[in-house]
This record gives sequence, structure tokens and C-alpha cells, in this order.
Amino acid sequence: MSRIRVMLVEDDDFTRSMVAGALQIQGIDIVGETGSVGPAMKMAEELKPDAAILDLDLGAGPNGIDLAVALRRRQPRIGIVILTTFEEPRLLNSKVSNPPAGAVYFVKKEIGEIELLYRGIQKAISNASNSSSSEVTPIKSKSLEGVTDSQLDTMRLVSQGLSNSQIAKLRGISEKSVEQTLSRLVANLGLHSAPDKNLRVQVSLLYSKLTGATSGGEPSDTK
Amino acid sequence: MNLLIQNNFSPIGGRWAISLYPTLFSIPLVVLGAGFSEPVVVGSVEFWKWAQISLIAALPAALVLYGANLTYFKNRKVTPVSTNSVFVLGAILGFIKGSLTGLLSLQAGLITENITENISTRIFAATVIGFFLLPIVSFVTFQIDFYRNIRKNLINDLLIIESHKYESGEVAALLRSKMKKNLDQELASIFSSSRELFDPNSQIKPESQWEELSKILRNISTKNVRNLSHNLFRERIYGDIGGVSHYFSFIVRNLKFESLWIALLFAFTTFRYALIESSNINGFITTLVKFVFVYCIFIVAQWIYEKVKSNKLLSFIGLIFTSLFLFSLVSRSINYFIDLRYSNISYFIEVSWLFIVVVITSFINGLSKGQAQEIQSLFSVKDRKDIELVGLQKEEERIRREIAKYLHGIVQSRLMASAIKIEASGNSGNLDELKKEIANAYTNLTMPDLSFLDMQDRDFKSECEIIESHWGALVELDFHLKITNREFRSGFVKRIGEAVTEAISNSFRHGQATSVQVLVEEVESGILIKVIDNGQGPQSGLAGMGSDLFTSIAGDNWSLRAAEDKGAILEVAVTI
Repeated sequence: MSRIRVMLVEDDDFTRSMVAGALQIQGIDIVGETGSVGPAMKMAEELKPDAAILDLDLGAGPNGIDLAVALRRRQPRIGIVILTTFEEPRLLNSKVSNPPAGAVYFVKKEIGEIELLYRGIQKAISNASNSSSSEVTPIKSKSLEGVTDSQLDTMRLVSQGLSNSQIAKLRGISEKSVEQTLSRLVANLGLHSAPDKNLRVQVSLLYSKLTGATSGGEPSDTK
Repeated sequence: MNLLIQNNFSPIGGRWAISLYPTLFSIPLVVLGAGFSEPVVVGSVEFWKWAQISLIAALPAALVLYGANLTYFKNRKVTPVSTNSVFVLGAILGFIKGSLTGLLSLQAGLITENITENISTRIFAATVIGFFLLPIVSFVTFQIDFYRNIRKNLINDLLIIESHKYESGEVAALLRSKMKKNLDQELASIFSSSRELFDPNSQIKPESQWEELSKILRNISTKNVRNLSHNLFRERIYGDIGGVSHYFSFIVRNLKFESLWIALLFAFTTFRYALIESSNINGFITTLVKFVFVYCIFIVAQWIYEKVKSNKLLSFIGLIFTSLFLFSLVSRSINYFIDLRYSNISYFIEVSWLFIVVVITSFINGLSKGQAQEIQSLFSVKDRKDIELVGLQKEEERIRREIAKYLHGIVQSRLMASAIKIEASGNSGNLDELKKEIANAYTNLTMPDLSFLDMQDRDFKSECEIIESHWGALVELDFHLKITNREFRSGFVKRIGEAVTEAISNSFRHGQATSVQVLVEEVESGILIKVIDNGQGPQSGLAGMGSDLFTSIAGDNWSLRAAEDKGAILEVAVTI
């Protein structure tokens, strides 16, 4: 049986080398590694890998899902694995599209063993070659059930430290609408006001937790 | 601002009700005013006598005022008193002062004829003056205090915004330069001294030294690079805004000859002559003629003043003195015509009093309108800066993320990865692999690429090149730029770039376009962005994609429609 050929797109050198090393031990052939979209498209064209492992957040420009969509348009049989710290793609940007059909979405902290990632790659390749599994299933985090895109945008801006009036100006809506969105967001997230807990801080902490910036609970030291 | 919602918001009966100190400070004016406005002062001796009497008569009134301040008006800052009470108190103070002035002037022998009429007229006039003066002082004080508080809050807001602005924009630039400097000085020395240890051409023994080398790489990664990112500093720079000259420029701009008020006030403060000399028709004639003349001459002065475009303050002063000179000529002619006994000093005193009346009315007018206008201008500055701040904070966030990502994601991560690979090949005993990884580490210890830290405001061409480098691999892009070489405000090109990026990403994500044409054209009123794609065209439910961003930079001046054959056309018109 031939080895699975995988390309890796991850803009963090350390993570990329760790993942590549671990998958090689599992018997996967890492045919190419890169940190950005341009070289990734070129690499895929030349090397024709069986699957691509893509980071969701690739910095400025297209994200991992955009890249996945473009790869799939050119190579319909390529397996797609999204590997990220974001519990839900909308956390990166509410305007992000759905991943291509059959893509496998992994949140880094939930991968206990590298075997799980290995199986995910196999599943992604199988999904891509199986036309019956072409349905697109939106990736949803349980913590964000019922949270709308607009609420998520507000959550992101609150976690950036912006005031209601600044958010209103940035989103082109009234300050009152921001207040209303914020109260609905707080209700949807199941957060409660308490004398020793500021709601805005709770929202920011939760956002950091869901995007993998902190483990949640207490703000962590900068890495 | 918070004054607006306080329950003592009352221009006359509120916390400024009797304006104790401003009123007490106005005593010298009242004292001199007595001498100036006295109709039959014939020399300096009489003038000072009147002034002394007025001062003595004002003291009991001042004591009554102070007493009212301690009793009925005591809690006015918390609970407003009735507006009428201020008028009544003013009338009482005027009555006291008028009565005492009458009695004292009689004692001093300044009144010799028509004694009863003279004193009663004097009391009546003083009561009426007090009735209006105290509320006017209260109102003016209220205005000054009210606007001063709004102004203070606004300037505080502006200072906060300015400081945030500098934290966001300027400090981001400082962060960049500081980081670059630190990287140059600290990292360069660390990298260069460590790098030679990894030089494949040196006497390095990979099989025995790999652990030590790996440890060095780990140290540089976790200590030097990490600490460097933590030591990035912040510097606060405050701007100088809303200064005193700004405040006074608005007051000067609003100076105006209020001819009716000038004429009324002047006639009213000098009408006693007409009343006292009521048996003589000359008193009425002079008062009436002077009232009409003063009214007319200041209407003309105001008309001329409005025509003047520059040196407004100097013109205003010039017009005052010209008007006063003409008034003194007319006053002399009238007096000569009706054979009145005015001395030179009497004319001087009369003209001086008119001068004071003109200055007071003009200043009050300039103050009330000028303050309001200044506040309005500060509000608009604040609004503009508020919007600017949001943009700058976004920029700061982006740069911070870039810096953090650069340090942790590239420099630190690259070195740590190198250390781990050296350890892995060392442990496996694969000498060739070890040599290769040490050579890689040698390469990785080259000074990091700092090009992105030198980023300045880009021009449209560079901005488009960057967008193409991001999106060009996914979608075919065709840029057409029709821009002159003019300079745009800081961040403007970037905002246009954001809008173009948003449009391209929408075409790719939602329109599934494979080709996008972008036209950025400078038009008369600003920049027109036109994005045409070959995708599926606007879909229901997705037409609002990016609308927040387009609205925030172009207001309602953007549209998305289906192209004739296939695809969508987005047009965004941004005002410069």
C-alpha cells in the first residue's frame, strides 16, 4: 500500500515542523510545507498531494477555508483537513465561507493523540473521493449555539477592547443597537452579571478561550 | 455635559442664582457707573464725590446680598430657587443702594434742587437697575460656567482620544522603530555571537556538541526573543488642543454692535436727568435725541463691521472710537442748541459711559454666541477624532498582532523547531541529518527580515500589489488604476485597500468568481472603486456582505448589482 502524500500549510514554523515530524512517524509522506497561500497553490499543482492540512488563520489575505475551496476547485479529489485553534471558523471572521464538502475540521487542543489526526486525514481523502458525501456541514461550536454573525462580530470587537460607541461607528449602526446585540449575545452565551465579574471581561475571556488564545478562566501569560 | 441632566439646570434660579463673587466683583463698575451716568456732573471733584457715595451706598447692599447667600439662597446648588426671587433680590439691593445714594448725596450737598423728585427718581432708577442687573449677572455667569464645564469635559474627551490616538497610531510607529532598534542591537549581537558556533566550516563536532547547541537555540528562542517582545514599550504623547486662544478667537468672531441694547441701556442709565428735570422739556429732548442717534450710529457701525473681512478685532475697536467721536460732536451740538451747561469733563464722562455700555453689550453678545460656537466646533472635532480613533485602534491591533506573530510565530518558533530537529537527529545518531540540521540552524540565525517593520503609508500601486500577492493565487486579478500623484491623508489608501480586499473576497467566497477586475479611479469628489467579477452575481441573502465596511467608508454611496451577462458589479464612491 502506498504512503499517503500530504502537504502542510501552517504559518507557524514550530507547529508546522512538529506536525510534520509527528505525521512522518505515523508513516505519512509530507510532500510539501509552506506558510502561505501562493506557494501552497503552486505546490498542490506540482506535487498533487492526496490531502492538504491547512491552518485556518493564515494572516492577512485568504484564510485556510478560502485556500481549501480553491484547492478543491482545481483538484476535486484532494482531501482537506483544517487544523486550527478556533472552535468555529466564524470566530476568525463572520464572513468566512463553509469548508468544502467532506473536509475534516480539527481543533488543535482536542487532538490528544496524533493517531486521531492520521485517521482524520484518511477520512478526508475518503470523503473527497466519495461523491455521496458531498454535503457541506457547517462547523458549529456548542458554546456558540444561537449566536448570530452580528453578535459574533460584536464579541470580537469587545474582546479587542473597543467601547460601544466605537463598535457602533465601525459597524455603521447605532450605539443602542450595539447595546441590544451585546445583551442578546450575553444571554446566548449564558453569561451572568455578578458584582465581581464584569460582563465585557467575561465575553473577552470566552472569545480568547474559543479562539485558543487562552485556556479560559484566568488570562494567561503571554506565550 | 453632565450639567445638562442635573436637576439644578436653571440659568437664573439654579446654582448661579446670585453669582455672589461675580456680583461683588461688579461693585467697582457700579461705583464708577454712578459717577459716569450722573447727568449733571460738571467736574472731576463731583465725579469722585459721586463715586465715593456710590461705594458707601453699595456696601450695605453687598452685605444683604451676602446674607441672602447664607440663608434663602444657601442650597441653590442642590435645589434651584425660584427665578422671580432673583429679580426681587436685585430690586431690593437696588432700592437699598438708591436710597442711600440719595440720602448721602443730599448730605454731601450734591443735590440742591427738586430734592424730593431727585431722591425718589434716584431710588426708582436704582431699583429698576438692580431688578435687571442681578439676573443679568446671574445669566452671564451661568453661561460662562455652563459652557466652561461642557468645554472642560469635551477637552478631556479630546485629550483621551488624542492619547489613545497616539497609543494607537503614533505609538505603533514607535513600537516598530523601537522593536527594529532592539532587534538590530540585541538580536544582532546574540545572533552573530551564537551563529559562529553553528558554522559548518568551523571546528564543530556535531556528535558531541549537539545537546549544547540545541540548548543555545532553546535559550535564544525562549529567553531573548520572548523577553524582547515583552519589553516593547508604550509612550504617551499628548497634543495641545482647545487652548485659550481658540476660546477667545470665537468670542472675537462674534463681537457685534447690538445697537438697540446699546441705545436702551445708555438712555436708561441716563434718563434720570430727563425725569429730574421733568419741568424742563430739554431733558426729554436730549435723552430722546441721543437715544435715536446712538441707535442709528451703531446700526451703521455694525453694517460697516459686517463688510470687513479681515482684522475684525481692530476694525471693531476702530468703529467704536469713530462712533464715540461722532457721538461727542452730536452731543455737544444738541447741548449747544438747547443751551445746556456741560463742561468738557461732563462730555468725557458721558462718552466714557457710552464706551463702557458698548463694550459690555458687545462682549456679552460675543461671549454667549462665541462660547456656543466653540463648543459646537469642539464637538465636531471630537466626532472626527472619534472616527479616526477607531481606525487607528484597528491599525494598532493589526501591528501588535504582526509584531507578536513575527517574534513568536517566526523568530522564536523557527529557532525552537531547529533545536528540536537537532535533538531528534542527535538522539537517533544520524550524523548526516544532524549536520544538515546544524547547517539549517546556522541559516536560521541570520538576522531576521525586518522589512515589514519599516512599513509606511503605501501608495495605491503598492497596495494593489499586496492585495494581488494575497489573492492572486486564488482568483485572476486585473487592476486598473487612474490616480494622480497627489498625497492622501494617512491611512486613506489602506482603507481603500480594505474595501477592495473585501470586494475581492466576497467575489471569491460568495460569487465563486474566478476572475475579478478592479478599477480604482480618482474622480472630482474622491475615489471611485469599481469591482467587476465573473461569478454568480449578487445572491439573495448575501447582498449585505461587507456592507458594514462599505458603509463605514462611503456612507450610502455604494451599490452592488448584477452584471449584464454574468457576475456582479460593485461600486463604492469614497469622498477624500
